[in-house]
Amino acid sequence: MTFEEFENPETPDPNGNQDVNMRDFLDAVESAILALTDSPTPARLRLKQELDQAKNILKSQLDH
Amino acid sequence: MIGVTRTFSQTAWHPEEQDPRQFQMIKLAETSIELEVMIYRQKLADRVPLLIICSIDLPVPPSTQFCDAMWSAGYQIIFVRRPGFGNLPGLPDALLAKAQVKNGSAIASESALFSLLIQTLDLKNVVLLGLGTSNSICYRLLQLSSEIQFCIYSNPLFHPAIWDVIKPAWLKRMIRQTLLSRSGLQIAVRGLKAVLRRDPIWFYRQFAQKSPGDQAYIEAHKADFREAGLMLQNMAPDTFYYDLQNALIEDTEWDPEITRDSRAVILAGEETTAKWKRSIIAEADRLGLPIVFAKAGDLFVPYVSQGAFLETLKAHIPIAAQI
Repeated sequence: MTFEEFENPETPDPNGNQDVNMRDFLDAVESAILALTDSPTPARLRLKQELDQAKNILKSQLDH
Repeated sequence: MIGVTRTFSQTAWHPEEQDPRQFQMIKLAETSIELEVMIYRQKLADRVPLLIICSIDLPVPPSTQFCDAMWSAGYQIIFVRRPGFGNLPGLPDALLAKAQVKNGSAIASESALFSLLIQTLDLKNVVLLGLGTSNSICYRLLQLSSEIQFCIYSNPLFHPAIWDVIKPAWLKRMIRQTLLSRSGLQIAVRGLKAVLRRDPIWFYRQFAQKSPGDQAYIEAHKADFREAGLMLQNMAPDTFYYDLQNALIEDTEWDPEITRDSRAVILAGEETTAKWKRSIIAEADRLGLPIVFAKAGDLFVPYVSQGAFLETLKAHIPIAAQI
């Protein structure tokens, strides 16, 4: 984003956080969750919890 | 196996034509997600992969000289530019909302992408190097990927005294502002970009003022730091917020029950304040992680103190280091 674009929020941000890949992000998160489920340890379960939250928010956005 | 790759040196990286640090777009297996990756000398070789996840302050690879030194010691540098740090979009907006940044969804998702990158490139026995703001990602990645044999957390920011060591004072105020409010974030990012636009080298000299070793590294690699300055100017405010929030607000996930038995060490530089040093030692003790202090460097300590970095690798990965 250039300074001018930053100043003018109506200009689409060419490097912004487009959600075009949201489905793929969800797949990546789900695959990580699956890997963590294989051999659970307390640490991996906590990481899984973070990923579960990511999965929920991505799913709710996609369903919306 | 490397997935679909495409070099894009014309747009993304401007050092000399023959620079062996050209970036490739790596498409992650079975997704449309791409990451910007620098595989030193372009093709994966029969060397131990030394995977570097970049910090927000330096989204460019280490110097060719550093990459060559690692190559000679049996390692191949694979440098990943994080989503939103360069020419590709950041994480989806949904993950960059305040709640998702705070509850760890965003950072865990980003770690999942890097785990997928390791699978896509079919990397084995990886040595992982975290720098500054990427260390919390590396902490999670170490739990996600069984292909990582060892991790070095360099210049980690996970201890409570972080605000005392951010210099100069104006930059500390600016960074604090990014975390306080949405409008504060926008003002601070605008200010930072203005400084970077005027003179990126001046910015980096100021930022690295505590360390003569870092200063010398900046002077020797000005083109790299100009490039890094351009990358920072191109970064979206939400990406700034996400990364700084993770780095500067204590990440409570760092747990001695996990770190005590992990295959990892902390690398820090001597060229910092006494208070920071005491604080980082206390945190390393709490986490049960060995700590190595290199004589030179601070922010860029592995690049500046190559000898100490290699010695650390040799001490923990003796076979690989003897190649």
